[in-house]
Amino acid sequence: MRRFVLLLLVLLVPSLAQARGSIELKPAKTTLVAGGQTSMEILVTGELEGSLELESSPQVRFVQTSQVGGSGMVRGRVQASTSFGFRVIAGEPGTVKIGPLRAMVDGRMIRSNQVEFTVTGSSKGSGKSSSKGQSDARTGDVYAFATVSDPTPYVGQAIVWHVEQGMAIRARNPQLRVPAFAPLVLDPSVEDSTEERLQVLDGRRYTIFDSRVALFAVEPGTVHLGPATASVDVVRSRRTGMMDLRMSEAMPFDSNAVELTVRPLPREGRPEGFTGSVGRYRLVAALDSPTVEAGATVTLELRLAGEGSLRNVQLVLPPVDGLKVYDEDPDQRGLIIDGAVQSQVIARKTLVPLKPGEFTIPPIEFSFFNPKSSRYERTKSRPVQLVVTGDAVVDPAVLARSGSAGKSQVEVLGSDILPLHDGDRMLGDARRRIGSPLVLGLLLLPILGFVGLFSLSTRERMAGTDAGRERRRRKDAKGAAGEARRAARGGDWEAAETSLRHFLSARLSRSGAALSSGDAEAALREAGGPIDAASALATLLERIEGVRYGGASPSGLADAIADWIGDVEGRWS
Amino acid sequence: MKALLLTLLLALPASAQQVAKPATFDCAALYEAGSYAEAAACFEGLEATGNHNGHLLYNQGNAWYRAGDVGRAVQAYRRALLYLPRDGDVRANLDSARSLAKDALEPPDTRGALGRALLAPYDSFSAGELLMLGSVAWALLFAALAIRTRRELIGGVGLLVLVAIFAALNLIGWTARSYQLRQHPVAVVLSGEVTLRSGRDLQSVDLARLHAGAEGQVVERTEDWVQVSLSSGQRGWLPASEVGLVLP
Repeated sequence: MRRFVLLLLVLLVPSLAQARGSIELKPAKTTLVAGGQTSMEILVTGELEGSLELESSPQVRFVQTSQVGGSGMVRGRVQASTSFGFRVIAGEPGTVKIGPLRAMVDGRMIRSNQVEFTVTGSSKGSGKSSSKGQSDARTGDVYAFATVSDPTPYVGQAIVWHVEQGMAIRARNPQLRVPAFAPLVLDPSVEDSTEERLQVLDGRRYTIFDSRVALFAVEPGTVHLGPATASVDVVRSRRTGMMDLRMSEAMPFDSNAVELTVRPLPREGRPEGFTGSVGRYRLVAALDSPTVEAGATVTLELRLAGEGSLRNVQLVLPPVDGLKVYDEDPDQRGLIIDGAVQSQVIARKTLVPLKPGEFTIPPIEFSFFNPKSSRYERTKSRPVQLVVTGDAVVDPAVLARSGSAGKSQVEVLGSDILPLHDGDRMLGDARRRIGSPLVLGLLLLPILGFVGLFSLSTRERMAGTDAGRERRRRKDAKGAAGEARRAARGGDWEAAETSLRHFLSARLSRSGAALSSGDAEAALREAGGPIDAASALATLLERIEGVRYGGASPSGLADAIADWIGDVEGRWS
Repeated sequence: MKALLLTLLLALPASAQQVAKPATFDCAALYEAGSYAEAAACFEGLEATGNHNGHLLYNQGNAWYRAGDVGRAVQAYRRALLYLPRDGDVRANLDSARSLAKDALEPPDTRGALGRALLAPYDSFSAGELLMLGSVAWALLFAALAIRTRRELIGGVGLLVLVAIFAALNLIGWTARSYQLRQHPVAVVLSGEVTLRSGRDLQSVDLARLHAGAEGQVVERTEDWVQVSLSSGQRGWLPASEVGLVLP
């Protein structure tokens, strides 16, 4: 009995113990700075029915970031479990208790543990970029820290807003959502910059992404640039029974805010022609050739470069008598280098001198406001000398058509082109190829006609000569001989006799219709044919007549006819 | 032989009806309504349906010209000239289109002065006309030879020799023109601005900056690049996607 009870306990106690589900709140940390964040996992062991509800409070609010389900063998049983990931965002300072949560798990109402969050003093409002702020912000697993290149810029001055996004943990897919920059304006003339680097801070190795954009203010005043929202995907692994759960959890975090004070540009000392450029620049002018022939082109390059952005800058060349100037589209580029905006504008002017002589291209001025010295300054190119040789020209536009001025003048003549061709002329294929039937017909048919007519004429010409006649006679004789052999073999003795006579008459060049056996022998002898063949022919003709009219046996006659023909053809050439 | 002759005879009238008229495209109406780019696309659609002739290409050139696309206008007019070499309208509008091109480049002609003088008569004829003239002369030559086998010809051997020379000159001219178009056609810059480079890669030296409508003679072609010779004496490579070839 004791053994039975013991066995029952061994089997039932673990089962009963594991049959009960559980809910566990597992925050990464419970003390937060106002505006700070942390993560919290809620692990539900067993089948959860319904959902988990977390109530936010002024001190903390919760944003669900993940949900991973799994199952594993725990003490001989299959145990389901679900892990919920939450981001805990600290609000006002104070203390708040979360839990216990209640939920149905495996058919039972289960209560979770309780956690207490403490939110300490705010860090907002101290977002000015300072060394103190930097040392405070660059801590933790991840951080985002925003600065500006100049917290007190002038109106129109390009500043660099820089967000440093650091990660000391295994994470991927870093993202950054920039705040609304208004009333600042993104500088369209400067390219954004993004870099990645490694740095050790307080003994921890960080992967840091630097994002920089150029901004400028259009009016004076205080500007509050809100925090940028960064996020990375953090890979976490957790062992449940025999299962190893891996989940990717989005971890959002904010940067600090930044406050700027935009100063107005001073009115006093503002030069005439000032176009709003704030920075420090230098203007250089150069010709691609110091000498040129009248009517030919030479290019003047004006290069304006320096620290600060250059938006909508126009470098105008004063008119020079005897020199025609064509503007080309300027090349403009702005980059963020070493945390500052560097810009360059290259304007090219195509010059066409109309007459020979020595020209002086006057200096070109560019006014700007220097934020370092807080006063207006100007840069001026040096005068450039151009020596023009050759003779004066009348219409240089014909010789050099480059430049927008010439282009617009010519475009006005667009209405002068002749009108459309109408009608069915547009339809049809006017291509002619060597392989088209028409061309092939023209090339081949006349050749065929010519060859046909030529061969016909040749044959006609040949028919009138001795050689032609002899060839014709031999051909007739050959045909008659063949016919005689065939008729004899077929027993048609009348046809065989007629063919034999035709053969003879063809060889003798005379009609053989009325040729008797005696005449045939005589004719053959007369023509110089073989004597024995002549007598054999007479014998053959007599035998044929005997068969036809006397009822004699034709035995061996067909062979005799064939032998005679073969003998005569062989000997009487 | 009889069957072959019959086939060829039957093929002769058929050749004139090979091109079926496509569905009606009111390209001219689009042009008159001021929708020039659409009209150009419409004319190109007509060409794609098997209509290859100078009048269609001339209209295409007009539409591109009005649409402000100088490169395509020059290309279309030059192609029209291949079919209509003596048409004054095509030449006038081609001159207008060329006047809009930025680059002061003469149309390319790699023939020397002697070549130009000798080949000038050919310039007045299209390749198709040269082929037809040569073929007809060839047919007349053999027809005369065939007749001569039956009777004496007026003009005798002298006339035959003249017809033979005429046929040979036209067929040689057609052969040379076909070779020229196949191997060394004219290329027209289509895009707004393109860089002439010394080699077939973007790292090679920039030789010149050409603009839409600039013409050059093709020296060599690959799938992606075209080497052109300019009338200014420069020779370099342009991306094939930036130029249009003047082909029938």
